[in-house]
Amino acid sequence: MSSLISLTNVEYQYPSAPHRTLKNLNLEITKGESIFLFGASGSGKTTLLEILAGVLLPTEGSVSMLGKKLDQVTGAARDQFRADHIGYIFQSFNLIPYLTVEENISMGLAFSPFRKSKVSDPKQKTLELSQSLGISEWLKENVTELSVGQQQRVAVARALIGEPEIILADEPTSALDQDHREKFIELLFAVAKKSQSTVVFVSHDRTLEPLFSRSLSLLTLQGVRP
Amino acid sequence: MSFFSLSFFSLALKSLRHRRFATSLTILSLALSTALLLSVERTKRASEEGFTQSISQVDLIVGGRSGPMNLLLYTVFNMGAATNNVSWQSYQEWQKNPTVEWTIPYSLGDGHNGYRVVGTDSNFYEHYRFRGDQAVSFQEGGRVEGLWDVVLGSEVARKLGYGLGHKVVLAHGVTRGQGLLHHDNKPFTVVGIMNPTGTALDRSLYISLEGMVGIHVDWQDGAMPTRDKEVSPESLKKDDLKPEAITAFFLRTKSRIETLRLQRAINTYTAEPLLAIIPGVVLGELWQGLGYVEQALKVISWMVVLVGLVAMLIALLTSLNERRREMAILRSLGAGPGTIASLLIFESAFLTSLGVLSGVILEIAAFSLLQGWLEESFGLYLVGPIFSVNEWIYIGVTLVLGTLIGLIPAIQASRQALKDGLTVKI
Repeated sequence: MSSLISLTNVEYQYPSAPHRTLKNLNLEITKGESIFLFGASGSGKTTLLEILAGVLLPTEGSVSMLGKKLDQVTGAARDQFRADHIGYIFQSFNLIPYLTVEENISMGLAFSPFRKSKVSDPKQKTLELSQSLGISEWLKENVTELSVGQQQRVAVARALIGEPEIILADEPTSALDQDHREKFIELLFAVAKKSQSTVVFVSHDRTLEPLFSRSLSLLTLQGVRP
Repeated sequence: MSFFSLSFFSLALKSLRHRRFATSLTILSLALSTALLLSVERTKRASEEGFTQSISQVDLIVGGRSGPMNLLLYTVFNMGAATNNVSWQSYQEWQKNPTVEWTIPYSLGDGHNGYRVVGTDSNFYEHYRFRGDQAVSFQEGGRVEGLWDVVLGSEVARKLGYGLGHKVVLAHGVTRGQGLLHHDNKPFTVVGIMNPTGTALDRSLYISLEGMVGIHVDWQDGAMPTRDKEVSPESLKKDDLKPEAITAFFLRTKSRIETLRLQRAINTYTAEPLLAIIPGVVLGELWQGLGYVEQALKVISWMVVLVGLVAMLIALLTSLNERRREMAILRSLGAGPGTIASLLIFESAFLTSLGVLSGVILEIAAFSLLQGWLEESFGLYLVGPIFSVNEWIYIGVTLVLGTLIGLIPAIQASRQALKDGLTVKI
């Protein structure tokens, strides 16, 4: 099976930073995997996610996503790629405060006609997703009424609507307590499996590691022996 | 339609609604400044109209030789004083000129409580026109017929509280407040009160030419008569009193083509030094002279509009920092910096449009509400269309300016969005 995500010798240095945040990073991910990517705080986890999402362009190296060379296309094309193929889940504050739960979920389709075309009945799809995530009774509510755990589940629904190939999650469980973390990841996997999405989950909390199909260390990816 | 058609626009609108307090303040400030700008323009138009239309259908104003401005001021605006008279003989001669259609004699010199008294004849009621084709009309009573009749301008009647039948004693010379020398023995009776005109007519009293002669008949060398030399009003008959001179007269030619030739003829009249002016020309010059006030007002109201736009700029810029999270979320969903920028431009265009629209409504509502009061208190008649070309230009310029100013927060937002990426670094 060809790889879904392929990073070769990727380096990244922030314009004002004295050192490279990422160097000589290689990563191969195939379809259907659930990847646990761990690293200490400040090790460049979010930087890597931003490169995968096409928000940052690597200083060196190549990024290939779904066979598309992201490092060789324009910013606008990378934005469109993200809209079409990636669901992104933040650590916290995922939601737009002035929209309802339902509207926030539908925002997952807002910038992508491609994803929109994959959902024949968005209202029905929103209901299904929110039912499997246990948030269907709050669809019409303002998101600010929801608990942090519920908000994170709304973010999962938004990331998964329109069945994007890749889900990038940036420590989405860090604001949750231990019991809810595992439950949250189980839910995430369940809905991701249904839409055949590949999950790349970044965290510094290794207690979650056993839940994933593969675990990678950010240091190892950069050729550092553990 | 469900929320799934939640488009770019409704996203922007919902965001604005979320910040409704700041949004409504911004719209309010834009509305007020637009309303001010439009009000200044409308007032200017109305006052220019009112001013240059103080007298119409008069081809020439003729008086004793002085300056054109002076002649215009003391005849049309009741300001200043005449330096020379026109003899009755000359007046009659010009009246009989074959090219002249009609004349209105104007005799000044007396006053009442600071208002001027004008001695004139029936031609005044017949032919005097202002604002195009508006003639003198009465809210009560009618024209001066008898020797001791007086007609009041609307403001005179209102301010002094006089009604029909009221006895009015005139003062010699126009004086502020109570005159020094009064024609006590010859009181006039109010027979008519004119409708408001918004011109100097409202601030004058009108008597007959003979009445004007009558009150002065027993005066000698400009001094008040002593008691024994007083002539009783009953002994005077209208037909016996012939004026020796008038202050000025208005003149209408049979054909407009005659105007310039007649003006030249009067100005070179050898029997008496006279001055004939074309009122429209001098009125225009006078308005030009007053134009700087209007220019200053216009500059100030543009500044107010600018302040309104800057207030919007500040509101949008301060909101940007609070919205960095929102922008990062939109970025994660695939929005590019261009989309973020257009979101902000749309916001400012929308705010400006709504502000301008509210301003227009405010201005129209305020003027239609205050119309009666403006006419009565300031003689400001809101003639002509509500919107002139100028108003459309102002609205257009404001909209363009508002949208252009929106570029500043838009550029700022898209830069910030690029810098922040998916993480808000505060």
